[in-house]
Amino acid sequence: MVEDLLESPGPAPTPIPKVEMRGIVKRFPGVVANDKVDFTIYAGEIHALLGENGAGKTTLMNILYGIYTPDAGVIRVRGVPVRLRSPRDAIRLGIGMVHQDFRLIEAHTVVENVFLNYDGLGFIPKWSALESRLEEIASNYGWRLNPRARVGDLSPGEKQQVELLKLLVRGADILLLDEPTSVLTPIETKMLFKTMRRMAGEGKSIVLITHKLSEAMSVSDRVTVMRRGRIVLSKPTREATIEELSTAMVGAQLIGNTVLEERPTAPADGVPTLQVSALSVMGDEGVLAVRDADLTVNRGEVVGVAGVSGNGQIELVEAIAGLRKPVRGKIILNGVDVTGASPRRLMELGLTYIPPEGKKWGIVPELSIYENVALRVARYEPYSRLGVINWRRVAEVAERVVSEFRVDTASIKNRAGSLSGGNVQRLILGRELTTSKPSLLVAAYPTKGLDIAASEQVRRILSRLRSEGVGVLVLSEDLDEILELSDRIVVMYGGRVVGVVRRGDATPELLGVMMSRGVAVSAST
Amino acid sequence: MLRRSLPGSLRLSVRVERRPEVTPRSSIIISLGMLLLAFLASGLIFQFLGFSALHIYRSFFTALLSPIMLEEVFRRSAPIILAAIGLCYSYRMGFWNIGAEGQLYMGMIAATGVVVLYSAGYGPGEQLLLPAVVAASMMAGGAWGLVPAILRVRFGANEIITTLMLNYTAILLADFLVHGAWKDPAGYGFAQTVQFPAAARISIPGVPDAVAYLALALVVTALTFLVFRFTVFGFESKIVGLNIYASRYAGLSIRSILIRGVFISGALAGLAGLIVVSGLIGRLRPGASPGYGYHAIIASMLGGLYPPAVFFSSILFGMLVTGGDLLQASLQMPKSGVEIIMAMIFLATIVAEFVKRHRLTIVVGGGGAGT
Ligand SMILES: Nc1ncnc2c1ncn2[C@@H]1O[C@H](COP(=O)(O)OP(=O)(O)O)[C@@H](O)[C@H]1O
Ligand SMILES: [Mg+2]
Repeated sequence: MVEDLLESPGPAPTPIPKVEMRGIVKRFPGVVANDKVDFTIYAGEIHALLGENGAGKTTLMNILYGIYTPDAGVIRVRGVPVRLRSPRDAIRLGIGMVHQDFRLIEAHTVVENVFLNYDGLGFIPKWSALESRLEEIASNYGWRLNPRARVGDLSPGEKQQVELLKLLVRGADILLLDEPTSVLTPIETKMLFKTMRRMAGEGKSIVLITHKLSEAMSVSDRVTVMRRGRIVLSKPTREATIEELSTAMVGAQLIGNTVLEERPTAPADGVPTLQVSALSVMGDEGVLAVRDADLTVNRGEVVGVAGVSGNGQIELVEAIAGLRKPVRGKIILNGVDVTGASPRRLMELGLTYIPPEGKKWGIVPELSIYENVALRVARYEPYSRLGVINWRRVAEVAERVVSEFRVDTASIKNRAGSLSGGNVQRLILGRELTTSKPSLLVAAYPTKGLDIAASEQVRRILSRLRSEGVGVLVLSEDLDEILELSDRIVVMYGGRVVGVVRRGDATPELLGVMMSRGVAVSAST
Repeated sequence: MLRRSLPGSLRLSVRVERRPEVTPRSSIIISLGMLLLAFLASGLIFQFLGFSALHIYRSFFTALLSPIMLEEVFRRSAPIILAAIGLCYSYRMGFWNIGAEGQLYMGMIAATGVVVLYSAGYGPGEQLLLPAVVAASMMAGGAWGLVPAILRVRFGANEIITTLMLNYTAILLADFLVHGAWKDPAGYGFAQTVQFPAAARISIPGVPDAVAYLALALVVTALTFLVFRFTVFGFESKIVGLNIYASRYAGLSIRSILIRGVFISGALAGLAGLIVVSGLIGRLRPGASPGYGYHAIIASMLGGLYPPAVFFSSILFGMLVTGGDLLQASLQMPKSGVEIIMAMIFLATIVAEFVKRHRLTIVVGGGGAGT
């Protein structure tokens, strides 16, 4: 085909793309991570790959880097169809990837890390020559990096440079950077972008994975948005607007002005079950992830938290659930001050938390289903007495959970880890709702990764709780879901609550703008 | 024409995949298979060193299974069983305690301290002497375990390092006392303490010591089995070891569970120490333990932290320790020969764990883009 192109004098000399991925499909148990994805990278471009968590960005790049083999689809590099069986193959073709988490050996020096597993090192490496080579590349990009420094002593920004050096010395000219800015300070980010521009100027192609719209807008030449395994938008960045990108990220089908009808406010009686005031919470990277957030959940009310992921939602609910200590502010549950209380005390006071990533937080995959039912309640009567567990009792309850919440399993003795995502989620919900009588349910991404039917069932359960007078606080990356479930919607941006919208006033467009810009267009309570 | 794939060649590769589940049966089969391999590999080494492996193993096992030697095997297995069962408490929580040796030494030191006081006319009366030495050894072993547990919980100190260092501290402390303050004045200058009086020894009237010790170890094993299976503590400690996120979410008091579990580990190692000083040797002297605390590590792993299995794997180590002396006496082979076997068993245990978790398949295929 390349030959055809070269021979036939086409009307316009289309540039041969550096990389063409066509019809890429990759399935994992229970999800289609990449669903007939077409993705093209041209020479000298910075290509932003946008999408929420779980959209399939990393998977796509892992395929291009030879870590996964696609179930279907073709990859052409510089016009030549290739089969990538391992990163080695990719490196040989000039493709390099920096993973979201650094893959460096902290105890080793920069030069040792860069040339680890480097072909042509010889039996006794000439370290000084290698060092001066690194210094040359580094100074070319304006980095001040000592090749003899221990990597463990470097800042995140410098570690990133080491990762980049690893690719550069191997001659990579297609650089795949997976969320490179997530660990960087704003200054380091700026520095990285400068480097990226310079590399692009040299003809290298760079894919920047991010879920931050502003970054995509500021540095990229071209932007592609993925959602639920598919490409939903791809165009030159200068032709794209931030609104358009944000709607594409959170749900393209929502464009329009649908206003949801008011619904009978069940037993909601304006009695707050949760009151959060001026809450600030530290994130994992040592900066405030939640800033001065106020929030109220009344009995019989569903409050949805909307926001592009990474805007403090998860830290907010983790603080409410007692898994993170707040820096400032107050949390009141049913009239009791529970700021900084332990998960155990919160549970005893009527809070039930459905964690994100059920398999990581909510269950112990190695244990049986019935043992998982006992996970949170083993120490309470009637599940145990005087420290001795009544496994018969636990098994009875487990049977009830499995049948009432339709956990699909042959036996409660099966390992919980063998369940599919939807079944894990039903097991967690079922366990929590059978073994406790919550007055407040906090659910973090309860339908994430579930198929349509399973998601629907989870939403029904949440709605039922609402009608029973339980206060529900729900996080979701799916605007449709937020709109369907919520009586009020809290929008978070940059760690702040930038607006509270009543059900009747909420439109996808309004929320989309608030989520991407952080402006409270019309805040009402 | 354009289907030009990069040069490749035929290649053999081993694909390693995580295995979702192992049944208890295949787990036991894998462990036993690996054990067999360990003996085979050690045999090869013996052969290479110029000994007849077959001869060694034959005389080794026939001698060990004779009534007299069997008694010795059981006597020596008892401390290993106690310490190994103790370690199960630590390991199931993911606390990599390799300090059983030090905890055992602290048990020996504390028990000896009580006896030294008693001989000097202080301390408990004769009836209370046994309870006193039992309590002292267990408390001391437990306390020695608490140190790294607290360091880990408070400062995140790596317990592998702290427990290992505390082993040397305890061993040197024992040396110091035995050479100094606690040296038996009537001991002809030997570095050893006074003999344990009969009242300070664990025994069942009319029954050989070996049986009494084994009975004690069996009771501890059975209790541990029940604790693991039926108590809230046993259940929660397993969760702490398996999934720290779920433990936090479930509101478990992770710190208190860790501290309790490690204390029990240390207390049982301390009790093992009591058996060593009061029963096996009769007094404290340098090198009183030939490394029972280390044997216990391997035994508890080999038994998969399952108390009944740990009981038997510890007896295997009791045999090896006893057999070491035998090798030296009757086969003119250095005592360290058994250490080869022990090391092989240790390696085999690690390999067995890997094999249990993974499925290995050998793939034969032509090379594609790479080689
Ligand atoms: N190795 C894997 N095994 C099973 N599922 C996976 C694996 N890697 C990714 N997934 C799933 O594929 C989907 C896309 O994931 P990913 O590519 O990591 O998304 P992103 O990088 O856009 O956040 C998610 O639902 C994720 O859970
Ligand atoms: Mg990713």
